[in-house]
Amino acid sequence: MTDSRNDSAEEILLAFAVEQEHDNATLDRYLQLYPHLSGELIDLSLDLRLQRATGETATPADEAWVEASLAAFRATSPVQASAAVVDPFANVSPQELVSLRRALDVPSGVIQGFSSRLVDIASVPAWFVDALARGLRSTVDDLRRFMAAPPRLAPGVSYKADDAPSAEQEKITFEDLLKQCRVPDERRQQLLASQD
Amino acid sequence: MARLIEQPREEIVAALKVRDTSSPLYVKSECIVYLIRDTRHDNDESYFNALYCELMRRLSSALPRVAGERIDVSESVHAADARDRVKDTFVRKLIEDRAEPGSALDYFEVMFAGAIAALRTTSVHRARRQAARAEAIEAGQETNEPSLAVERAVGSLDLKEELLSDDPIYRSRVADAIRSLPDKLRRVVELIMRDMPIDSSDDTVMTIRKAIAVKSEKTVRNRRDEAYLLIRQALSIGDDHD
Repeated sequence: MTDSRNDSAEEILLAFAVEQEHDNATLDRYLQLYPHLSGELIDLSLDLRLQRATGETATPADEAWVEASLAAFRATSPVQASAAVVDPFANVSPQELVSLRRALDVPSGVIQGFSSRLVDIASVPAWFVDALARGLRSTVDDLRRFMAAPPRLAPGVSYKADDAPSAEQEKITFEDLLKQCRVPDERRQQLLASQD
Repeated sequence: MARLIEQPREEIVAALKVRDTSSPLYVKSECIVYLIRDTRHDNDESYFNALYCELMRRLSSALPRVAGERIDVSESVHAADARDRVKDTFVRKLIEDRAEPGSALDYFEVMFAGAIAALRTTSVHRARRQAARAEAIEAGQETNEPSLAVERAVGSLDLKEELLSDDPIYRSRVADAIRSLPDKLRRVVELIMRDMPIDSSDDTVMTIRKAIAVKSEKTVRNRRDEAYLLIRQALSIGDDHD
């Protein structure tokens, strides 16, 4: 009773479950191929039949159990989101930001597009997110988590307009950000290309 | 599906509340699996939570009923255990898929309820092997002498027909009656419903005797008769109703 026995049994039963047809020919084939799983296969075949027969009468789910399952998932998941979101820009000096934008060969407006969370991180090529995260001495995960929140006022940006500054409501794509910052076409294409 | 992906998340979350499976707005479980896999790289916690909770509800309703719905307490505990084990296996696959996209959840995207049933079967069997519940003891008690009452019981009860009844509550009672049978009887019932031959002299033909690995066809008949008697009793179908 090793894990590999369990794993392959699980695979075989899953494959049987999603077969288009559960007619006699299908069951016969599985029974012939996997005689050691005949008990499981017959049980599953019956289970699928009973599931079909009672499908619409399923009782309302037990909400306490659903909640407990979510809490358990949150507690064990490595990608748990309840971890405090770190601002990757918080401890980076203006000088460092300048050298970072030079290294990435982008105008400072592009970096601000990130620090203000204006850009939709999903529209940014992975290699750029990676390079930016490394430049900020952060991680891709932390940067993505930070970027997922709505736009905010970028710290330390001076506003020349008469209106009181307010954060943008809608995120924009990386491409639009590059256009707004007047990144030349050629460089823009390079930045938008996926390099992986 | 294509329609769903393009919808704003608030609308998807609203559609998850649709319970009527025949509604055009109803989100199929397979789609929810697709959508939750698709959240791998984002951090919209409330959207993820909505998808996750709905999947747990679907998972739960794909399994035999649990707590408080059965008279037999030990059966309830058993079903609740099975539900937790199935959930744990599913969640393990979900975490695996989020860490490194692979094929772990493919089956669930094809046929969610079926794949959940497969996990239940595996987990129930695994638990039994671990508990080393000796079926040998049960087998030892088996008599090869069917009683007359048993022989009469098979009668005209066609379980396939009963499971197609127009009355959903009755269908659930029939399903519960079949589920509560001991393994060795229940399996014979499934194969009888499939009209599999009890035995055959042709070695290439799959038969109930071969499928349940017993030596004589008489054992098959005895198990069948005993199963039908128990089901009739559970459904309170007496001889006088025939």
